[in-house]
Amino acid sequence: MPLRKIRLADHRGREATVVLVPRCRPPEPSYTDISGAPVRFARLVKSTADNGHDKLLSRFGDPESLSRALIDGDPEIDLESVGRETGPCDRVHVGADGKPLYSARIVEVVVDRDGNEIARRELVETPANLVPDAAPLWSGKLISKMEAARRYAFTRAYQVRHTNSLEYDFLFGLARHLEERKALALVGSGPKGAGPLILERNGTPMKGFLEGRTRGETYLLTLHLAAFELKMPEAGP
Amino acid sequence: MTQSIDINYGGRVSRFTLTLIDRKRLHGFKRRIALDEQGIECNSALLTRDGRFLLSAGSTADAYLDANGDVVQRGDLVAVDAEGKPLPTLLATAGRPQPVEETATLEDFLNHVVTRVYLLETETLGAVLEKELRAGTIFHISFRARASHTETPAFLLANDDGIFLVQAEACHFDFVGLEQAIAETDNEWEAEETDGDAFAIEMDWEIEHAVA
Repeated sequence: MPLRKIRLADHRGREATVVLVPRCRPPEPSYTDISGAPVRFARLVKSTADNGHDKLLSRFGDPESLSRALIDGDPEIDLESVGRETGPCDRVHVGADGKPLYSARIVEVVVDRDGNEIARRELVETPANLVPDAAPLWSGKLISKMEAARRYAFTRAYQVRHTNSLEYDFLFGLARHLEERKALALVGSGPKGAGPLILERNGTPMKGFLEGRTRGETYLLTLHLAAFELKMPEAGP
Repeated sequence: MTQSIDINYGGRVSRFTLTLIDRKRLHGFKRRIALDEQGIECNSALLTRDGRFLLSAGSTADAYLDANGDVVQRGDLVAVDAEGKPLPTLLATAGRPQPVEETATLEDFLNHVVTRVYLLETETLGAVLEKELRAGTIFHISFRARASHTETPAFLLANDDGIFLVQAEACHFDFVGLEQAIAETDNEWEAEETDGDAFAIEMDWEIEHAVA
């Protein structure tokens, strides 16, 4: 899988496009049956559209007839298909007639924190901004580790790595600078280098912070991304 | 159902109720929906690759199958580690006072990513614990909302807005030197986590499916 890149500026006015390595996620436990034999996960067909409530209602005409049919037999069960493994599937949009749509109009719905829809608008694609065309700026905004840890929910993290010796010098110097100040540096987009980072197309804007540590000639430079702040939700109206 | 946690620190038990907070609850969210030509919102469904079945939300079932293809009941499943050894079942922490295990350094805390955040409402709060939290101490604690086979790191901390319980996962990043340059197209890395909003439609289907 290709790795993400980010174009970073440092405190000395230098900049480079470097690599972001994702964290290793902990392995999920696997399962066996009680005899210790391995089992496998499967998604099975439980019912199909032809045996759904709407189709059955249109077939039997009225709820009374449908109820009678359900008592007398099993019209809701397609014995040919129920219990089969689905195998790989494609996700499709389904129209009011229950048939797949070949084209659909995608709109964006804005929902407030209470779950109420407040706007509906045409979808505007928002590109990722990790590697801007223009050279990024060093924001110069440092925040102590103590304050950052207690203020932000860092929901994603990437290790910033070098691909050559020049990048090593750049990143090592940046890590040492931050370590000496016991602080995280705000990294971001925009003219001041303090705007939100968007990691993927239409992704959630996040605040990015760089943390640096060194040990001898090695370094650990981490990009922490905060999806939200640790604070109390505002009471509704 | 309201969750609570009892924390034993310095011989005094503090009791909190938990409220899950996330970006959606703090700021709202955006989602994408599909409309047909009449402007009616479309549902999402799964179409099997052979085109035979159109599976709407709630029309599939997840199961574990043995070598014969028979369904294994959930109660008969045994969680095992990578070497096939059975994993112990760790009980939920609710209803049992959890001792504060140790204080966490800032580096230790920053070695994790946050997976879940709870705002804690205080029912009873020991004076010593309150003093430590207000001074900026971050504590390691045990918290499991339900029984689990794996230990999930959790931290207790406070700021001016309140006291928070943060569940996390370790990043396992390591220091690198000059010789450890990485190839830009390295394939050893697993598929990345991606952002929820970019896949709102898929997520909606999954949520509907889970509810169904």
